[in-house]
Amino acid sequence: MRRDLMRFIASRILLILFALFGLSVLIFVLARVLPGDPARMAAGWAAPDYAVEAMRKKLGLDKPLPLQYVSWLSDVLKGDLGYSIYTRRSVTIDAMQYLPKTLELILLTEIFSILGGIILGTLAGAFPYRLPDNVVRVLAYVAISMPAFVWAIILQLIFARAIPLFPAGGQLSPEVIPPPQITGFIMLDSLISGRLDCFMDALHHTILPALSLSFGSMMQNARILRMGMTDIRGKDFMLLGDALGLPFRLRVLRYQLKPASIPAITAMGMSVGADLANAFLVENVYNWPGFSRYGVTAMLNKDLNAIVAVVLVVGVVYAIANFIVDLMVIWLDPRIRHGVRSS
Amino acid sequence: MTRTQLILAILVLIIIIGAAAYFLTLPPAATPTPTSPTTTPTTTPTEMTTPPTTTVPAKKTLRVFLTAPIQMDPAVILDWASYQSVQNTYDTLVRLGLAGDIDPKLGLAERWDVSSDGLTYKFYLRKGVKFHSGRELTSKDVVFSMERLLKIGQGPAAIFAPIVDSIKAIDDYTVEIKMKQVYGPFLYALSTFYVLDSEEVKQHIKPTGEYGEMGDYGKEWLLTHDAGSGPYKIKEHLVGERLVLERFKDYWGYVNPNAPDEVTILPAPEAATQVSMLLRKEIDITYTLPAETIKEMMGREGVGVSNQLFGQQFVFVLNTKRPPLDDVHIRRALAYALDYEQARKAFLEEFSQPAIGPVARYIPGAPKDVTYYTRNLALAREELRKSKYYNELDKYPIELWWCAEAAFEEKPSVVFATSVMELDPKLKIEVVKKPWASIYDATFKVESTPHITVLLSTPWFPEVGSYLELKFHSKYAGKSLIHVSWLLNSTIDKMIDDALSTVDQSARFSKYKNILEVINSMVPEIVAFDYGMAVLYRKDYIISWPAGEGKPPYAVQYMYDFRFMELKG
Repeated sequence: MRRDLMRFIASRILLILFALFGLSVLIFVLARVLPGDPARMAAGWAAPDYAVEAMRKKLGLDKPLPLQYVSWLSDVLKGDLGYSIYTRRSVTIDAMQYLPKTLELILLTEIFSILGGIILGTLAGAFPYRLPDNVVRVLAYVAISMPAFVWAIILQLIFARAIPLFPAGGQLSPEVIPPPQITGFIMLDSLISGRLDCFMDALHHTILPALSLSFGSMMQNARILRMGMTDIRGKDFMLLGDALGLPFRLRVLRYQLKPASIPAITAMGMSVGADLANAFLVENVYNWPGFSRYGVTAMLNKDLNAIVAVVLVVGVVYAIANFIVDLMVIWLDPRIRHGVRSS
Repeated sequence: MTRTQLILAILVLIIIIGAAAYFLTLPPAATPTPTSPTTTPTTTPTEMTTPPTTTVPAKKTLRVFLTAPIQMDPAVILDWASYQSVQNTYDTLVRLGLAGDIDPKLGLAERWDVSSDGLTYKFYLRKGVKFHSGRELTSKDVVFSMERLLKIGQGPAAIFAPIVDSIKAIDDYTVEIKMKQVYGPFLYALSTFYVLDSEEVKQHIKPTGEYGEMGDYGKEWLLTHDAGSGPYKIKEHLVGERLVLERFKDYWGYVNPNAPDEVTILPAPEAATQVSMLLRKEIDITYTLPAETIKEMMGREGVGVSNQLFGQQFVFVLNTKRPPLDDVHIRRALAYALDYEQARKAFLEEFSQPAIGPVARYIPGAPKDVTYYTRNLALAREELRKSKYYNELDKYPIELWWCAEAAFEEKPSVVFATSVMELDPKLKIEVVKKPWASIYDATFKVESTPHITVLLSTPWFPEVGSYLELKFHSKYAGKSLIHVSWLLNSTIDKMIDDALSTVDQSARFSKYKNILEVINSMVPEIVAFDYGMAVLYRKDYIISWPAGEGKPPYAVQYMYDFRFMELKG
């Protein structure tokens, strides 16, 4: 069993590496067909030709495209994501500064999304076509049909302007001195340096953006879970459970929720990557100095290395989230476990 | 009570206690600045009669939204937001004062001489100017800064590379600059040349750079640190996230006693967030906002609207080489057809004013008595009839491009198209929204440059010669987004060269007037209006902000001159 599992994990890792390689080639080429000459944009519109050529050389744009890719790939493998013409420093440094901020936001988003999704989905699945299910259904329609940035603005207007319970934007209050940078995650750094005030302030600032980003995926998770639970409810073993008079909690939580959670967990895994990619509008509304906003600005400024880096990071997060989901599904579903063994 | 109920009750209790603890341990809500850095010691009733001992004055902080990231290296700055920050951190040899012209009291050079042939400038530096490092500024720093700027070749180097031949230190306080050619507005151009602490930069050079023995010329270090002598110094710079400037106590020049002690510059979020943060006093100056938002907030208590004039104009640039715009009569007809008043209304009427031509009316060197086009359909039709295209206007549809990233360009563009339709329905203008990068790419070549491009035109430095040279001299053709009209007229080139090589200011300004009159008659562009940048600010806190109130000096870098601001308290 262990060897089969190891083989399965190894094959998945290989597949992920192959997918990331393909993604890197694709985005590397696509970024270069966007309009605009990055060397001139970086040096300035009327910059002397010698400065434009120096910039072209610095960016490696004087070489043929395949050579550019090889050189870029070898640098990436050494941990150097290239030079950003937008921030005028290494993209690696940019990623180290901005990514933790978005990951912190995504972490809270996923906590809301998963917990909310499970609670609401279980309620709807346990009482199909009754009040909880109907309420969840309506909420789901509203939440999924509205983009996250609309939620961001609505929540901000209500809870920051009309009822000022939360700050309107930023990651920390201006009067709070930020913690020393250790990991780049403000909440974590606050805890490490014993700054509870700072931790609470950062958490206070994260709640509204995380909630707005989580609504869509939360309700999607709830709907998928509810669907799985109602499917299972009609199975023979559930009827037998009913006939035997098994307690409600045992029926719902063990026999109904557990098997129904597999598709929901897969959806949750997918939503991690999607939330990371979609976070830019919410980051813009809440003035969140994150990686997604950095990516969008990079695209507008034709910052080639930054564009490629952002897409790759989103790809890696997607891949890791899916990989974890695969492992969880194997752990949850004995049929799949056996399938792994037999293969 | 069942076990489930017990668990639920405990959960509810935990949530209530948690929420209470959360809100109780929160830091106080954002309060109107100023904030005191020290806490007042608590006093017992018996101590009440005793006068307080030493008190620390309250720290006046200012929080501003600007474009991110801010570039803090004076040799690479391109965008206006970076100019604001560099301007407050570094000094220039000469700078414009509150009267609008060069003020020798404000620059590093106390006085200067120009040789009779106009090719040599000698600057006599002020003594006792301290860098933020504590070192005294001398002529070797000026030489180092100019050489560094020219070697890097980016940002303001585009102004100096074609004209500066050499620079040398005569002694510790005298600098000599030799020119490749006579350049009349050189002193005005120098208002964009910032002086760095050469020792400080050399200490932080990264050896693996592209500038030979100078390594990276300190570019990486200067992203997050400063080597200036300006009234503010960098306290913290997290690129793209937060820039904190603090007052430099040993600054040699004038600073308002109630100027901010500390300024935090943050990237600008969505318009709604900006307004919410302003109303909640979480920010003191917003960034550019839609006209509707500005109008909605005008007159609201405690909120001011700035009108910063820095030479910006809303311009419809005509490609003079594409039919039917290659015919001057068509161009004049369009200039007479535009409903200028409606265009201003479609923008932000209160912060715009009629133009006198392709230079803002208040910039040094702008003539006061030049008349520009106003709407006159009779004259427009007359011009149209003189055109060789008059009988086949419908065969030449005209495309007008506006920038997708600047939504406020759309309405005046539509006004332009409808104005022209009123002139003659056969003249069709198609208004097209294009991404900035596409406009940028297209305007490198005459054949891909659209018939009409909307541009927000700003001079490089505050003098009319800067506008004329960039926009109409043939040597800038093909430099995208600068010279878009493709005028390519040797007479105009000669007139501009002649004016720019005139050192005598009044003679040069008078030549500018002649050039403007000729250019206006050729209509390479139609200037819809001059305008000032409107941002919202806390009027209850910022008592005086000369640039925000539309006062001089009029140049892009002086808009957020924190030293002249006066804060409450």
